[in-house]
Amino acid sequence: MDLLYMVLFAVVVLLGLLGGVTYAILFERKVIGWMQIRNGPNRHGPWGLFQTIADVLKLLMKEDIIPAAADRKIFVLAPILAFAPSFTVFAVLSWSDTLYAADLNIGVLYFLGVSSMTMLGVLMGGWSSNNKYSLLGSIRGVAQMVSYEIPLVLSVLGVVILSGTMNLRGIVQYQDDIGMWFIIPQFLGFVIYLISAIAELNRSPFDLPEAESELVSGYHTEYSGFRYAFFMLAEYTYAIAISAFATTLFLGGWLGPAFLPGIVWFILKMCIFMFIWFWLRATLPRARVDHLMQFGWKVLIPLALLNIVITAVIKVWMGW
Amino acid sequence: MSSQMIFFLAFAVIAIACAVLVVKLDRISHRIVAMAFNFFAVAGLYFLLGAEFIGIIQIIVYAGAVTILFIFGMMMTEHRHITFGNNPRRVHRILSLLGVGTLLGLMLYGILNLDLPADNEQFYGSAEKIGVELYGHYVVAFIGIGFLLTAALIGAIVIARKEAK
Repeated sequence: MDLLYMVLFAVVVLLGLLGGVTYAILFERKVIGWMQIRNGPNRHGPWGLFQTIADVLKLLMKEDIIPAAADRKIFVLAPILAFAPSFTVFAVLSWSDTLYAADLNIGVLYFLGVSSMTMLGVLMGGWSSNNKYSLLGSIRGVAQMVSYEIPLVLSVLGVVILSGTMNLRGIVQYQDDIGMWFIIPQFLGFVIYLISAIAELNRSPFDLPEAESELVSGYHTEYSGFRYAFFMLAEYTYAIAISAFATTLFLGGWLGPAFLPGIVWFILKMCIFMFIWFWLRATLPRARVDHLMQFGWKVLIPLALLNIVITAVIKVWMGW
Repeated sequence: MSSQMIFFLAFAVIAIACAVLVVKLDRISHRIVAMAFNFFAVAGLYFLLGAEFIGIIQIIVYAGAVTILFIFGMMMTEHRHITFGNNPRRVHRILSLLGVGTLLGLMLYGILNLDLPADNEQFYGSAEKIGVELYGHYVVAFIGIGFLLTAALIGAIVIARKEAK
């Protein structure tokens, strides 16, 4: 019975995610359209609501091409390896006070550990395509993900120190107890998290692994049809997961005035967090690869360490 | 059969099958993928035992870091024309079979005779306990290892830089 409930919950979350990803893409295109004084997609359905669905249908109906020189088995496996971890992390996210899958004591570690597995899919996809652009894109992607994983983890540590737990539900309840979201005492941590999350997701302005002006389209150059759709799905699922994680850690999760249910607050905060990314994408030009690395290692990591030291001192002296 | 048993069998079969594949497969890239799945299955076994912290460390360190390290090793070295040499002779095969069989017998004997006390303490191996042990009881050894690893890291960078010149 328990098993049935778990499977059912996972299926519901997966369906919700597919819908969420569909409209996240539309939201992104609309926001960027407005910022560039365009209308964005507006042909399919009212207000362009069916645009992404049409795009996905097109991708699914395309011919499935596997390059002759590709390493076939790994080429087929790579999109799945990229998507599976980004979906698995949703097991520990708690959507509201009562709506959650696993109440894991090491939720933070689980999220960070499993989400780093996406790297494996990116690397295998780029390597098995047997294409120089794919290989360069995936090496860049992995170098970037490895570098920015460190400030991401370190920025989260401040929250763990303050709340004294790695349970995601425990962290939200702690924020309820002190009556303050962690974005206030952990503002530096939040900014570091925001920046390194963009780099971790390979989104603009840090979308160097997919820089189309130099690398065609990076590690998924050789992918087409539904395998390409799978890579896109993985990317947006991971984006939703990271913003849900930020909502839980820094923005108080499902907390909010009682006139709306908890899950609505959660999704609203998630949307605001994602909106910042779309805003940045429409605003900033792409960074250069050496600037990106220098910024990560020489600015973000020392700042994150400083944040941990300050947080630890406050925790011990102020007796929080 | 309880669901725990089903999951145990699934993880055990995946772990063993992938371990065999690591040895048997031809291409090194396929071997690395098999190895990653093996690490995942072992992590699943830890989760099944309730040692969540150790399970997640297994995923972070082995499935994450070690696998990526192997892939970079594969990309940066010439491995296509290197083999282990000709097939071993029959005597070698029989000898190695005997050796492995003896080892398996000894291990099975040891495991079956092992008398583990039932430990009902709940959060055994939790992050907090490991942290208190590591930073309390073993703090000197822990810091010593930290220094050693830092020295090794700096040494590796120095060596790599010299070669680039």
